[in-house]
Amino acid sequence: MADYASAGQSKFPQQESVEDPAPPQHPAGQSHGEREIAASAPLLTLREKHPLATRWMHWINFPLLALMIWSGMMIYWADSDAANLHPHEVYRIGIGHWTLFRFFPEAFFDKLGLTFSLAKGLSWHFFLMWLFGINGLLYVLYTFISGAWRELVPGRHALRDAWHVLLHDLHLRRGLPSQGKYNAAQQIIYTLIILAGAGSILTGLAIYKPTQLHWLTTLLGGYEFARFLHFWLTMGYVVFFVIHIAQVALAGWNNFRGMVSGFELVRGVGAVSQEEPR
Amino acid sequence: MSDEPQSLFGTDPSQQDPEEAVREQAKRRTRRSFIVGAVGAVGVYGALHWALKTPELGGLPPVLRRTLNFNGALSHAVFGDRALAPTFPLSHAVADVRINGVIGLDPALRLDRWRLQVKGLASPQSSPHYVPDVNVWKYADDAAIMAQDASLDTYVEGDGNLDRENGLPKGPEPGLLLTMDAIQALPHVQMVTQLKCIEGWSEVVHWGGARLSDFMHAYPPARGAHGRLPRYVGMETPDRQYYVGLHIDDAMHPQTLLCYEMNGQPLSRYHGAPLRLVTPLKYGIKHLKQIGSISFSDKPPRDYWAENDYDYDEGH
Repeated sequence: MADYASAGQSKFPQQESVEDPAPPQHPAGQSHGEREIAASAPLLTLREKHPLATRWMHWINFPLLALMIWSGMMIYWADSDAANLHPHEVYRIGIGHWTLFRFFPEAFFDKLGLTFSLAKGLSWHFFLMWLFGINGLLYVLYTFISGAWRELVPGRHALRDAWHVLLHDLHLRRGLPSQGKYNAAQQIIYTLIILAGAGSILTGLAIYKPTQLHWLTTLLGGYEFARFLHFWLTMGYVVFFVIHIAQVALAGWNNFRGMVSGFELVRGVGAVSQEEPR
Repeated sequence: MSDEPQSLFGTDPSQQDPEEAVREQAKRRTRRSFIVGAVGAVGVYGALHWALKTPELGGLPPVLRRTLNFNGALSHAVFGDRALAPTFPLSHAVADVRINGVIGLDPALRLDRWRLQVKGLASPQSSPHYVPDVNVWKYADDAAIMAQDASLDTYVEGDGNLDRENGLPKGPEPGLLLTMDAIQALPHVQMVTQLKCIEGWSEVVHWGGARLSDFMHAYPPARGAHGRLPRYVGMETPDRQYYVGLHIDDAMHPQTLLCYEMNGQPLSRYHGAPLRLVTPLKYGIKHLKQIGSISFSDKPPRDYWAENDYDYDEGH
């Protein structure tokens, strides 16, 4: 198990938490005198961070989204495979009839074993869509009803603060703007990712039922454009995932444990909470 | 170090450093949540493993096949397949429509030897096109004609009455043998709709033909209890290599056509001459080319791609 005290600081400390790093933890068997010195420093506190429901929905979403992308790739393969027969105009970077890059090169599908699996991809995609949609809907409902959205939805100065957070993270600026549970950059990105989830469901429906829901398909720019959006939203998740993992790694154990166990250890805030989450 | 022995037995949190209690609590909660997470992950993995190992249902694990069927039934219940697919101006139609899929298609089929076999009608006997067993009709292509022209008759009673797939004799199926004249006598309709392939591509196509619903009015299927229409329409190619099943509501849809024209011209051979199915309610894989037979029944007709792990409904 990790050394909790040294992980006592989250990456984005809250307003009331101390700015200094946690004092070094004393090894077992220290003398009384040292103990008293340590105790005079701000008290180590266990502070609740993420509610149980949020944590479950977060971790359920991770494999679901991974499997949705995996089955989606099988569906894209069928389109990529036919690129020589049909102008490849949706999953690519290019303009008009000029294509710079096509998603994805054949070797990519080959390496991942995603070839000739259209039926498998479709059946998985249309099974998992239910779990993905239900989990997402429950998350949005919970976040609104519990009031957690207040910490998540960006405020008036979010863009400016997020810029400062970015500069700070790039070591171009000292000090962080004041914040609550999430900093402004987190608020913007986490809110966008929820909106992207809703976008994936809507563009997905527009592709899934382009005749029965043709008004939705038309609203989203037509069948091809809805597929284009559906694809690029997914690419957005992949980019988000990479940055998210990097940030979590940088933020350290205390922060990561918060999303698993629901609490973080901080110094100098209130009394020790003996309450266990349920 | 006189208090050393005391601290060795100092398991009571109240006698410890207050921070020690916090760390103990953190440790306990962390351990518990990681164990719960691990058990959850193993549980999900086990459930998936079990679901995928159970015997397959029509080529797919039952959980996936049942979900596809559920999705189809739900879509049918919610939308009722009443929506009209968007239509496009004639100028949007592509001139050179892509040819995709030739399973069951005989490009050398002699069109003068083509007949539409119709089964499951209300009173076929009253029609001049009635035959006691439609299955004995022998289609012919150019090669076959050249090889054994004289031996081929247009209608040979008691011959060819085999289930093509299993090679087993089938019971006679009374019905009609129709020529293209009968189809072309139905009201002619044109539409410009987008054909969507399940592989991902799509094309706007100018179709022409007769509504399947008009066909069903001219040649009414046998009705079940309470005067209800049969639940399904099945179509197969002359060689029985390609076959699709369609819900009766989709068959009755005004945009579901027995199509014999593309871009105002008779269908080319590779687009399914002389007659094919077109329905913008479904992916291209339901648009069977070169229809050999149409049958009406309450039992879901066999469906080529559903047998190959695809959804049966394939509605969109």
